Amino acid sequence: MITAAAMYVAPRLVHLSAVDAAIIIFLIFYFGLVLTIGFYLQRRANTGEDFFMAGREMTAWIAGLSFLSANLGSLELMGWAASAYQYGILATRWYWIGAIPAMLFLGIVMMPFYYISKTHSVPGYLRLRFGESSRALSAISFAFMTVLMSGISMYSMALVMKVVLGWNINFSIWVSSLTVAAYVALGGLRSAIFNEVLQFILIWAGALLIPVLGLVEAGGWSNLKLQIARNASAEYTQPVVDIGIVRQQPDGDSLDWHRVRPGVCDLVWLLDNGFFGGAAGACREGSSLGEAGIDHRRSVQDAGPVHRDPPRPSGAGGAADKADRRDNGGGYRRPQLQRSPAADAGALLWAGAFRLGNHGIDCGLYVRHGGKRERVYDSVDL
Amino acid sequence: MIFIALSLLVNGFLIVSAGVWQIFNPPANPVVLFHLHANVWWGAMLLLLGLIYCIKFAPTRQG
Repeated sequence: MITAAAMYVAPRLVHLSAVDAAIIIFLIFYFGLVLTIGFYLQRRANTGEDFFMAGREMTAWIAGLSFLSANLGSLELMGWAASAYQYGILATRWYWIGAIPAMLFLGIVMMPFYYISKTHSVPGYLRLRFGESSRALSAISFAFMTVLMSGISMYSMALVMKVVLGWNINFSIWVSSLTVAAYVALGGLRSAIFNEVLQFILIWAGALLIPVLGLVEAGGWSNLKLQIARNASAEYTQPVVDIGIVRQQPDGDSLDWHRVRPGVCDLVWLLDNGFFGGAAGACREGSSLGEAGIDHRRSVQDAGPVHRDPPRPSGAGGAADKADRRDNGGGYRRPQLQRSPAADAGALLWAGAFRLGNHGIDCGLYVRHGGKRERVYDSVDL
Repeated sequence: MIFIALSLLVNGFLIVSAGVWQIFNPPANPVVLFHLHANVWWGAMLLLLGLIYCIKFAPTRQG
């Protein structure tokens, strides 16, 4: 038994005995806690609606925190740190230009369409619009992306465990993935959402200390800027001057795929997040903000008498309303948009393929050291 | 909420404990800014927050 356990413990890089003990105790407590949440919520997952949609009874702030937490995984914490180290402030374009406007567009314009169609997911919506083939294509492309992206996320997490605790990478991945699978299988979307709220608090509680200590170490905001100006090129702090397609990147390298990538990805994020709910965010664990069980019916009732018609997309304009009035059975009307399945499928593939490529590169597997590309796990001698 | 409260409470307690232990038994290779003992005061904040949550969202008070 001891020999088998020893096989899973690799030589450690950092020796923090007191901290080690605290971390291991907390990890055991944490895994137990998330499983307890799964068991606790198991009794409330009786139907498919309960399991996949959390009974559509989540409040907006819980769904929102869950959505935020879903975007604060190891991929983001490690990947964005590596990306910022590599590209400087240029890395923020992903969110400022790509993600934030796209999410606003998604929430204001697209989400009402998704919601009134009463589907469980974006692929389900595509089936309503274009048929089964579109849904299948969307589901396959999303599943393909998710398998690779989840692998990168779990690998990033396992790298941290490897460096801090010396745990074997496969062991970390198996333990964490089985734990997640268990609590999701037990409680469904409700369990996933409540666990993500818990994770949100822990991530913020842990990560908030980093900028505080970072600023102390750098000597305050002014000294931080001075050090960046002294140690990096001026373009390191320019988020929009170089759009990354034609000119050289801040590190001075010539044009190649890694140089083209940031500019292209602005467009990809816009497409992916804007139209498809950010495939990862919208479909992750079967949830999107609108479909993750936000009780829209309650807000309608609060606003006044209950209407037979579903809430109409306010941002879609009169044309879409008129199109919607082509009733398909007296109940909810299928939104009709004049877009071809081929174009939609192409956009899906495009977004999925680029998301794969970029997450693969930016998940923290690569950093730059003196112009030489190295893998992180080589640089830290794992 | 009680799960969050418990998590903060245990997390804070463990961080404070490790921090206090390190004050009396300094590590051979301390981390950057070790002299600030961030784990003590940051852990204390988490512990306090967890205590407040535990009291406010105790199951007995929820009816």
